[in-house]
Amino acid sequence: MSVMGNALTGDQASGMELALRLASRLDGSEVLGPGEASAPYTVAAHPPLAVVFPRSAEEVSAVVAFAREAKLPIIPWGSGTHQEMGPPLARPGIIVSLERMQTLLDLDIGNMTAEVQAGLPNKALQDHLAPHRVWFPVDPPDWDRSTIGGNIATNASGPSRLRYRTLRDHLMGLSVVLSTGELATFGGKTVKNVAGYDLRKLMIGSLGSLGIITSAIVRLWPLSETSATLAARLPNEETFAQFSRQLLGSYLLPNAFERMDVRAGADLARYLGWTVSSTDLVCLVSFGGFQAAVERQVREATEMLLAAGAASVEMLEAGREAEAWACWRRIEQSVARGAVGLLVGRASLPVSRVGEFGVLLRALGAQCDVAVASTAHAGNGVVSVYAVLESECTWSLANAAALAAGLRVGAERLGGFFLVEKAPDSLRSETTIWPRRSDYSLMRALKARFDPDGLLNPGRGVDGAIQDA
Amino acid sequence: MHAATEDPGRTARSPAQGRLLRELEAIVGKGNVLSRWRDLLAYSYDATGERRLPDAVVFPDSTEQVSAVMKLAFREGRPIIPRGAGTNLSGGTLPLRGGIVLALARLNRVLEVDTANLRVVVEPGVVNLDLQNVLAPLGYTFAPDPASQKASTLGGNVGEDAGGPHCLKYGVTTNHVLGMELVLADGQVVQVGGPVEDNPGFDLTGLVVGSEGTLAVTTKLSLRLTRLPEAYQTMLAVFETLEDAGQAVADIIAAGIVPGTLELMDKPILRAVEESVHVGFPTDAEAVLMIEVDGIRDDLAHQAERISALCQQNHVREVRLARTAAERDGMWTGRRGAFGSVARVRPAYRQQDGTVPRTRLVEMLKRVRQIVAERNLMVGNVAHAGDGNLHPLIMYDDADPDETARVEEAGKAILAECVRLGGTLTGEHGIGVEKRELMPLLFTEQSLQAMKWAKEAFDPAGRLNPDKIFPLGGSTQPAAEVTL
Repeated sequence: MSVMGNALTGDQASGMELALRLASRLDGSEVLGPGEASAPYTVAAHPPLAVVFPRSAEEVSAVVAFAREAKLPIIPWGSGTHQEMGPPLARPGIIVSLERMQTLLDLDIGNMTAEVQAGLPNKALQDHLAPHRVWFPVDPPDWDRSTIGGNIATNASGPSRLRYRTLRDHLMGLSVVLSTGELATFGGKTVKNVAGYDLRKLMIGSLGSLGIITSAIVRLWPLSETSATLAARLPNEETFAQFSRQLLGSYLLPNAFERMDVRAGADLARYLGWTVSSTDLVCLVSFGGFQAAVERQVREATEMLLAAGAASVEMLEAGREAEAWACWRRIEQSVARGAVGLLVGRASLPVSRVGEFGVLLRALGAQCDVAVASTAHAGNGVVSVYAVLESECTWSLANAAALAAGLRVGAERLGGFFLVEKAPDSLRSETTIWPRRSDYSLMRALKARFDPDGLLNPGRGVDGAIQDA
Repeated sequence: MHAATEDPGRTARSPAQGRLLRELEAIVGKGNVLSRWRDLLAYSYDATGERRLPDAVVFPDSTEQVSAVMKLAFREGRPIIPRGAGTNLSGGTLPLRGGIVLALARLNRVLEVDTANLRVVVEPGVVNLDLQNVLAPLGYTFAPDPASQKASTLGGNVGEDAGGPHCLKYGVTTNHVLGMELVLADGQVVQVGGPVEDNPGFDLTGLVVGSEGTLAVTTKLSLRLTRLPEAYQTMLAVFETLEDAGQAVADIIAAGIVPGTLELMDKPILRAVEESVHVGFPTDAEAVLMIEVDGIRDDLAHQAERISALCQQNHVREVRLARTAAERDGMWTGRRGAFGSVARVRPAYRQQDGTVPRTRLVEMLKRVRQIVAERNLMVGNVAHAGDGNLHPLIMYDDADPDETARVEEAGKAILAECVRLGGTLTGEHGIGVEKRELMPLLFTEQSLQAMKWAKEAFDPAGRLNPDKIFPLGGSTQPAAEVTL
């Protein structure tokens, strides 16, 4: 048993006592009491009551059982990259960090499965897999930090979702500590499995509000024998729309099709030595597979780009391809440079309406006086919006809130929705986080059964600040 | 138990029953309610062959009618049993406690085909193949194509999370459902998921798919379309041993090839197929793999060569490439005809559905032979080898009660063995009635409890398709069996 803390103030004494009691339940796992060391685990301005670092599902069970007896909230923590996502946490609680649960439990190349503890970072898993010429085709931009458990809890995805789709297609098995402290296991090592309800699906995107994911069995896919990426600069929405329609309606099987406006694509344009104008759209289209098919697809996609009126097209391989994608991965950080904060939103639209949303975003950005950048998984209709907050003054925040409200209405008119994914705490309380839906009451009924005392990430899911349709 | 020759007084209705029928008729129209014994009999069974009589069968024509029927049933405390084409193989549509069968056959409209956005909106009564026939000329498909696709409905496919021979590469039904309109047990209408992706909150679509009509009734389905591939290359690889065929499967996957189809048929099946459809399958080989790769044309010759080489490495007797569309069709006719053809061997067959991790498939097939031989029965095996899903077909005489009992026993032993090898009780047919008592083999009490929480959240009164999926344990079944 070890408790690491700082010199106590009177206010922290009860927190310290809590940490000690918690530590006594665990055999040697580290527990942080309140203070400087636990401050980085602050969520929605709630400093943690304690931070605990279990090393096994059994220890997670013990912590949850303890919290349940003490009626204290439990906040699962992977690497902390998405704690701002969803409605804000309502109450402080015990942070259950999975940082000490990073073991690759099983790698079964014959079955193309890997079983991992939830705290393993995505990229660390990929590094284990690469020597075997396989990978896990869920590639969110922050995969070097974000964990597999966190990816599941937030339904994270990346450019490869175009070809490989999302987590719900690759999650084969799941172990979860329920609010009772008991461990439940669903699925296994088989692609087909229809025995009982598919509770794996329920956990994907549940933001830790139904249980704590402790390990997962994921499906692996062969790494492409060869790959190539086309980078293109399209002068306006019309040329983009023509190319998008032609590419997605063809036999070609792109791995990824990303669209960036000039602010989001600035780093990439600079790397490629392009001079861009404000209406330009920058695209990355990648292909993977066996040599002959990649060559033909690159050739045909290049023809499509030129026929649509692309101003620049470059074929990138090996190091240049990797660097282009590294630029894509840095977009959020690049856009945030020099800003006091970002409002990050996501629109999900019919694929054919992505261009119209781009037009709307430009117009609303100008109207609300907010600098905006956007990227899109153009073949999936999923757009990320970055609104740059240049100051913390109320005026700047009000403008961003107005932008979000406008985008919400606009996205719904286009047959989709817009939601706020990350924003400064002051803005999150003012901005409606999730769109109105008719199924929230059903979700709340589930939440009430799975977590009757409301201790799992209270407020961050369907029990939070959301509106019914 | 009712005798077949007489109507056991079902027409002598209680006043409550008469009132219920009148109210149902007011909702869906007089011609759309069945209540005569003979008519009810037609809805008392599914492909498993068991029979239980419902109180009434209704044919709603709209979401509003479904909702009104369910409100009525809710008020009256009657079970609701949603039904598509009744092709399911696990007893999922048996009206175990009587109640109202909600037959969705009239909800058979394709409401929207949007190829630009890769989606369709359909009603649940649309037959899978009918949708395929709408999509194919446009160059698209709905990827799930279960063997029952000529008859089974999309609502049924969703209810059972149906599979088929393309799942390794393309996934099962759940991977292709974007959202749906649901009617809940109390008649409330709710939209879950979306026509678009990444909806906030819990993935209720993913929960309802495969829930066997126990959580909600679907009235609209938003489905993902898949572009038809540019080209296919189909081939048959003939092996002298099961082990060689199994190793070839492993080597193909390890080489980074993901075939669209990777089907295994063993000797008894090859013989039965050849006797019935004459497609040129070898009848003296221990196992045949039917392999199909699809995608960009330029790739396929290369992939076929790699596959052939890997088969050679595993002592293949012969690799036949389909050179024409007709040759490809022949191979598929043989594979799709496997189930029907075994009916010629013995009067009846029982199809089992178990799944093991791919690497355990050959071991499992050998165990199946052993389990069946120990009980003096005949078996042929068809397997979706790429995803470890096996369908042993036990051939028997259903007029012989002793043999029938041995078939039941063998089926349970096979499933227990699948679980022991790290697999599952069902890959695509569902739990239904048939396998509910086996659930504790696969799930701990806690895991089953979590599933029950989901059931309670959707259907707290337990009105939807009762007594399915969850083990009843010692408790007796409430409705009398119908004997004919």
